[in-house]
Amino acid sequence: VTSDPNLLVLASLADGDKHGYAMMTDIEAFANVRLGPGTLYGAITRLQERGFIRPVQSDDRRQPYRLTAAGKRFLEEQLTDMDAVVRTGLRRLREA
Amino acid sequence: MKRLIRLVARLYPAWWRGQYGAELDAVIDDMRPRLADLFDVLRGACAMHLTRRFALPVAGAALGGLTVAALMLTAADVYSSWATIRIPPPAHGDAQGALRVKFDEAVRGVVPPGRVQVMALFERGSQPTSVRVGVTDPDRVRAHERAERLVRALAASGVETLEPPTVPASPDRPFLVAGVAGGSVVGCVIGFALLWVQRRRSPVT
Repeated sequence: VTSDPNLLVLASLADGDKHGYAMMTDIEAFANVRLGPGTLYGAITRLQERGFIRPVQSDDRRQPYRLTAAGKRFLEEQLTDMDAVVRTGLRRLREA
Repeated sequence: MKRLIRLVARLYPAWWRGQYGAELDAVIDDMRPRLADLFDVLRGACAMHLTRRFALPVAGAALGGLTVAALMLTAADVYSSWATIRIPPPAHGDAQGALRVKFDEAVRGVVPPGRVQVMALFERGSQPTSVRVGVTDPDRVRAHERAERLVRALAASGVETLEPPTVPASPDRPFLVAGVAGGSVVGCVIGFALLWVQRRRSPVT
């Protein structure tokens, strides 16, 4: 549905905290998109700067992240828009 | 391959490595890397250097300042020759007006219009006691010659010369610093505006 790394990271964190490698494997499993480490951490940096995700306290060097309330709202808006496009496209295909 | 990618990851900016460097190294350790990941990390490092929060306004300021400086430095050179003359003390009520007429008469026929600059020097009180007169011209020798002719014409009218016209050594750049500063400010404002538009259009880029 999307290859936008920002949305993929947000969607990955929607069901709970994850660290970088866990996000990579999760995204590959649910979206069939393999994010490279540079792309993944580019998205993490941007999302954290915008306050959509935040790091969770951890003693491990594998830093887990959590979706913030603003991140949840943003993800919901984006997925709703995307859903409208998908529904419209499918309906028009059926009608054609 | 992992070692090579970790080496490339050192290219990220220091501020970024301070915050995310250990995590990225952990991900590289955990994953099974491919050649594409090497280029992905390299691209990420370059992007992080270019898309730092204030990179756009700073780049705008630098570009604006440099553009103005380049425009001012490539503009045609203008030279000024300056002399100092003494204003005679007013003998009657219309003395200043009479001086003005004398000055205009001396300038006419010697210096083309718009090429004379006058700067009054105040010693005390509100009456100027001496005046700096400058003649500008694209040619430095001609600027000096015209200033000398102007001073001679003024001397014939009874105006005392305190300092003879200078020989201009370098072209005038009177607004270079102000121009570069102004250009930088405008560039910075445009950079912030672009950043704002960018954020409005795509909140996470």
